[in-house]
Amino acid sequence: MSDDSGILYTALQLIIQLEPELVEIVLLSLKVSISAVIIATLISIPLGTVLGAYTFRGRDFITGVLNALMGLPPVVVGLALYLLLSRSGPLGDLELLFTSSAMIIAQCILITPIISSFTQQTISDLHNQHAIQFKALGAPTKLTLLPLLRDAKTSLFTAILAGFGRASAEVGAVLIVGGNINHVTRVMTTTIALETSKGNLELAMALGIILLAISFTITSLMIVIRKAHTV
Amino acid sequence: MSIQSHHQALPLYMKDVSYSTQGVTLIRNFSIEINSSGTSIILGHNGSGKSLLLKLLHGVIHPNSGEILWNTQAPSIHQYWRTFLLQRPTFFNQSIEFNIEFVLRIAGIAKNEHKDRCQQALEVCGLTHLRQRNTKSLSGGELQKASLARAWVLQPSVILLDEPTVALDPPSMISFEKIIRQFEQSGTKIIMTTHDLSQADRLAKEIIFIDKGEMIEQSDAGDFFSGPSSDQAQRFISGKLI
Repeated sequence: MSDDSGILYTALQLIIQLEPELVEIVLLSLKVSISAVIIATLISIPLGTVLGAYTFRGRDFITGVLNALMGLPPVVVGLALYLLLSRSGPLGDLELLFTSSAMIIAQCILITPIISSFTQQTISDLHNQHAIQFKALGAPTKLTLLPLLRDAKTSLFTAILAGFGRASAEVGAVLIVGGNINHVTRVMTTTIALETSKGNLELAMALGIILLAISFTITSLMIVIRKAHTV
Repeated sequence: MSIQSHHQALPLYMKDVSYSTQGVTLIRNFSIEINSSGTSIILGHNGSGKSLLLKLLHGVIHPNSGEILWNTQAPSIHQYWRTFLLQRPTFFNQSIEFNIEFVLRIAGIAKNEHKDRCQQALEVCGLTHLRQRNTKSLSGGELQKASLARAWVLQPSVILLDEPTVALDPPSMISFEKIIRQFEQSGTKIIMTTHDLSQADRLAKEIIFIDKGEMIEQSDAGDFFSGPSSDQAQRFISGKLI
């Protein structure tokens, strides 16, 4: 058996045996990413809906900022958040640095623009599609929002899944604000980076397989949802 | 808020109405008075301005100059005593019933009236058996009927219809026209655009013939079809269906 296949074999054993350290890291990763996605969704869906359905002064500016933030380098977010949350920073009193809360905030900042922009585009397209009909019916925009959101649920769910995928794959920002502290802020991506540098490839490989499985699950879910809602 | 189901909508006046967009005048010094009950058909070639005229009458767009008055009121899209059927209606990706009830919510109709009103509108339009069907799965004819039910649920004094049967096959068209006649008989004023002469002949009490955004002729349907007074209308009739 070659070295590589030996690493793979050990990694699979770690997964099958539900090795406690591995499980702890996976659960913390899921907790952080799911929390970030829930908070980002609560911000992004209303924000994207308002931006998509209403025309107001400053809308283009906000849209531009959101689009720019979609490509935000995670390490820059991590650095900015680090400066804000460090003891000497303006939010230092909250004592959030090197906690999972700081990691949630970092992921939230990274994925809010993604879900918001997706939502805005979806609602805007639907609103434009119905624009003349809404006028002909005399429908005020505020009364059209909930039905439009219902119509857009497939696309919005896809956007949320995309946000989760982005959050769970994030490494730079969570490494800076989380500190990769064992049993406290060590998540899958930061552990993979650390264990690879240490030469402990079995644990890194096991976590990599799980991360890949999560990514495949998300992609498959997106396809299934899209198919289920296509007549 | 209740629907003004017996709103005194007529007479309708248009005085020297013009509408331009991107430097092109599409409706020019248009003046008309509609007093009659029954169905008024706006006839004209494709691109003559029929749809624009209906949009102006409904308030979806506003004229650059001139005045439109429904009795004494200028048109506004929030006057729910008048409803407007588009040539290509759109619906939420929900049931027919949801889409019809949505209109009642917009118009502020009391919730306890929704069920009865929906039921009645669906029945008149022959859609009771499809009430729970998603609009995505309806045929073109069923969609136009759903659009009609959505307009009728408000029990309007006036219904404006923009070439509603243009994409329908003959049986669907005849079925649609039957419903229109029912509305007319219940006292609702029908103002409809078409370029289909035989349909105009079947439905119209009055013909308003327009060409290139200008009012050419307004006459009783019988008189119009036995001998229109304008050259343009004569040419239009001799071409039959354009």
